Amino acid sequence: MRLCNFIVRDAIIPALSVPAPQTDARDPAAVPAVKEAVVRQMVQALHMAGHFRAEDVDEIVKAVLKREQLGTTGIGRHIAIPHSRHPAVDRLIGTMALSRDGLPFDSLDGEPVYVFVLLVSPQDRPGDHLRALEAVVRTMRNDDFVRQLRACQTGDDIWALLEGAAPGW
Amino acid sequence: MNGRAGGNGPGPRDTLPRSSAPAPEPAPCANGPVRRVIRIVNPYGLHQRVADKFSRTARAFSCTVTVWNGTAKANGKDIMDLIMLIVLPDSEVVLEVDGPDAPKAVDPLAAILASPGGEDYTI
Repeated sequence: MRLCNFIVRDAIIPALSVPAPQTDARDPAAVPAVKEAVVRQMVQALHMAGHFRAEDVDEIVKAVLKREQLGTTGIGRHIAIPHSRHPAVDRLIGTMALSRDGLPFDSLDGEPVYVFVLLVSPQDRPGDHLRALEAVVRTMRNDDFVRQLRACQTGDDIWALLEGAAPGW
Repeated sequence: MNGRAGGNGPGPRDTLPRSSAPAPEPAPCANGPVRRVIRIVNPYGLHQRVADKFSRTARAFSCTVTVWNGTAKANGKDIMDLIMLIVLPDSEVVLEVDGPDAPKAVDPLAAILASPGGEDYTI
């Protein structure tokens, strides 16, 4: 599986409008508000791109945040993969967002997050969910790819990078 | 993690998992590696939370911890390596621990992999 198989092109956010804490990009006190703002923007972007009903947005945001409470999805290397399963989707979808400043996300390595990949998957497709997670991790372990990704300025730039990425990325 | 060609159980140990985590080099267990075959009964497979819990627990031990899925293997101390293993529900993995504290590590690590989850499966 490749990222462009499940990332929704029109929902890509090249620059999140979530400000980094002025004091410290690792500030743990800022994490809950940052998580809510990031997740809401990304879920809203999927809705605006034509996925799930407006009334599902709040519920999906809550589900993703509830999942975060069970353990952070900030897996290190400046990457986070917030996700949830939800009946509002009949296939796995996702979106990608970049933070220019880096945001505190309670990451396993304590570092701020610059790249977010949000996944929403149906309840009954664990294999798709695992393959999508693998695709994100495999891709993001490539430092060249992440460097190019963070240099992208538009959603089209990001999409072109995802489409052009070799399957091994 | 290595290639995903078919096969059963651990293959030759001539290749190491690609991992950003520092590779521990404990003394080998006097009796060689300890191995367990474990069926994954969690309905969502070895998903991110399980991988997180497993890798945190594994890092508390000095022994090497390897999880095999067919001929693909992961450094059990590296959450990203474990996620890349793609362990589906109802599949079998081999847990291999090697080092002085391997006998102490194998039970808690095996228990995490074998756990049905006890979690909220709606999220």
